[in-house]
Amino acid sequence: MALFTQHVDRQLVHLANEGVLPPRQWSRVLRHARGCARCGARYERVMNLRRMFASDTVTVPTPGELASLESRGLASVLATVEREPSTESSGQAARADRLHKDLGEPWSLARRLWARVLQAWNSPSLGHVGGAWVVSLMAAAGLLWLSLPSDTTEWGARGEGQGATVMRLFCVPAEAELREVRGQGDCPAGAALAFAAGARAPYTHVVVTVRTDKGLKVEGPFEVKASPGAEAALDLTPRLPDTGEVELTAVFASSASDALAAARGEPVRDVVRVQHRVRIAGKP
Amino acid sequence: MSLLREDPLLLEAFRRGEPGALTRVYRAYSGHVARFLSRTYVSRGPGGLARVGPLDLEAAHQETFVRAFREQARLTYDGVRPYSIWLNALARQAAVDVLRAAGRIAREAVALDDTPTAERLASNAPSPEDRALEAETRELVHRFLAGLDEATRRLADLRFVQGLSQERAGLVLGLSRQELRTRETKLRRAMTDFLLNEGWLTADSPDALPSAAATAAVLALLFPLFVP
Repeated sequence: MALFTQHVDRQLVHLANEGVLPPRQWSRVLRHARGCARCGARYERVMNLRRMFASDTVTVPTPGELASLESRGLASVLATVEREPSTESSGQAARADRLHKDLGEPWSLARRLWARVLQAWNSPSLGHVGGAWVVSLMAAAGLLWLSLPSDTTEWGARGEGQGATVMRLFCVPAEAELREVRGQGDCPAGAALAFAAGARAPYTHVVVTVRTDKGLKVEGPFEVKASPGAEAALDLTPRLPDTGEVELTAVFASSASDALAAARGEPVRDVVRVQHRVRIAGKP
Repeated sequence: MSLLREDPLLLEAFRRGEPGALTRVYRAYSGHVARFLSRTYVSRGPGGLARVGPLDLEAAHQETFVRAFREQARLTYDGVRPYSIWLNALARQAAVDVLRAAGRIAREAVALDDTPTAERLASNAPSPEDRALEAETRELVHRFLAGLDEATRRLADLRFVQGLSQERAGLVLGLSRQELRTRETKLRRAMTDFLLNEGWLTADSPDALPSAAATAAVLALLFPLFVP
């Protein structure tokens, strides 16, 4: 027997028999099953069986599902809504939704890519593992962290306020796993880029410029609420051209207008400018 | 039911985004959204009509409420139209996005919101895929129940089909709580064996997690000085 199964078979047996799982276990099972074709299919069959028992149709959730959604989902919804910036960003969300309707597929694709970024972001829950395992894994992670060299040069700040801002860059190929781009990185043609930013006071906003052979595009300003070390994703996933190189510049400032002005090349004090180049290369 | 239309104070608190109001609205409409998502076909593509299955229900349900509770959505709701109808529109779009993100429907799939009303209404009948799925699952249930003796079948009906508590089921069957538990353990074992034989579950799954002894052994190996 393997020490750990990567699948959720035991919980599926429980679900088949009971129709419900303890809340945290159920969340973990769903998280795993949604990313695992094998377990996803089994989860669907088991829950359809329970639905058939409960109401003789597969299109009506069981009482257990309804109770679980009501109890488990609320905290997550409230936390998500609270995290989302209000007013200005609501306007941005509305613009995004309008764009979604106006642009149709390309924007849908960007949202899909972004969903993958967020999926990769979420670390797996250890709720199902015993407490001792958690302690040992944390200890092991601590040892690894101590032994790894710090990566301070990547997206290093090249202006004032070094260390107060962090920008991370990710390559999102169409048919491959998302990966972080380090140094002078490569990313295949047709892939998209994704960003995560963190900043400390006084920096609150960032603007990203994307320069390709076809010209310069200014994206943002984006409000940065996350701190360095806990960077949050930016709602920005530009698609790479077929060839050449992309130069990316992120400008952090203490206000949206300052960030935008600095990104346009106007003289603004107290900004942090970080730059990166991505070559279009590698297999798609 | 139209909670927000009937309670102006709640509507105001909801618009301000007060957690208490959001909680009341969530609890009042959670079941409605779950049922709507589960029965409604939200897109049409090369694979036919698509709806949210059990696997994506939680994601689509949460996404619906996240969109509904955003400031702009809260302020846009006029308090006149039934809120359930308002939620249905958000749920459809959230479902399409969740299904697309999960790769269950093709990017080319057309949201049924974008199709003519007549076609959309016609789509409320079960799709051929769902009819086949229901027939298969119903057949499985019948075979399982047919393999049980009369008393166990009655117990399965009360617990699995009617969803009675152990206590209520015991009263109906004239069994003590302990007797009922013993019979139910056998029933669950029979269910597990049946699903294993049908290939729905994996044979070694009940023992798949590490035992306490194995956990302790690994800990000792990794951290000789660690005492849990």
